[in-house]
Amino acid sequence: MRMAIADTCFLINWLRYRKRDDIFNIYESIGVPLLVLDELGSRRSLLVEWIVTGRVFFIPRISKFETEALSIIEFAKVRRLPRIDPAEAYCLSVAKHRGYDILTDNKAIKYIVSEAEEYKGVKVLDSLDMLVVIYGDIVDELKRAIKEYSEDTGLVFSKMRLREYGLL
Amino acid sequence: MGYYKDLDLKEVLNVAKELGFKVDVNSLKENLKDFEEWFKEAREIRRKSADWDFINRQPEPIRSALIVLVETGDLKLACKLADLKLGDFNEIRLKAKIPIVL
Repeated sequence: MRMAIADTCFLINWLRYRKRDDIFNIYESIGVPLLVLDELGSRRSLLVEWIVTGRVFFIPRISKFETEALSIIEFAKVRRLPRIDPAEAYCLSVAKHRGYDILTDNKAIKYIVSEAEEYKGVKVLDSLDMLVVIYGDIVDELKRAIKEYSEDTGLVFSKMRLREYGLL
Repeated sequence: MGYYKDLDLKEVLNVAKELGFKVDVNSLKENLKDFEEWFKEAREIRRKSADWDFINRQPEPIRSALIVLVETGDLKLACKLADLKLGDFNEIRLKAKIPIVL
């Protein structure tokens, strides 16, 4: 099974989802940088169940990844991409070097991976991609999962994104 | 919102080179179109869904942060304005019925 690294904007949504544990049908465990843990604020309590069952591992601050993250942030700025915070950029750097998938709801990360040759091998999944990977074999099940996910998280999928998966 | 307007491609390529990144210009151009279409749809969804009574009842700087979120979709900027952690500000976003749009 694969490993993934998750950033704050993905976790604040996914951890509210009623079937959040289904993600472990795909991933053995999920890495969370300490920077992300800090950004979760009081909502980090939602991670407790995953921590005690050993499904989350923490990634400390490593200068090599932090330096690369600063370059990613600078590129995103000059490229006028949606804001990338240090924790998100850090996730991308770690994902690239360790071969993890990156779980993020920040579109900017997808754009960087498609535009910067150095990151083209990194697999980026947002919440919709994740739902498709988990439930995509049965269309009705996927549609129900999308509806439940939106109810639980206050996250809406644009027509553009739904069209990508033939869901409109 | 100026994410895509006034983008100086030459500057992007120069800075990317300085940072050690090689840019796929075709992908960049496709992404610019993708982003423009998505941004307009996303803002419209946020404006229609938001509970404006709730937003206008909030104290500053929360009220301003929520308005910025509706107009820009920039959750991190809104958090900074509200001086809250992302996880905590997200709870207020949910009460204000402002969707995150993917």
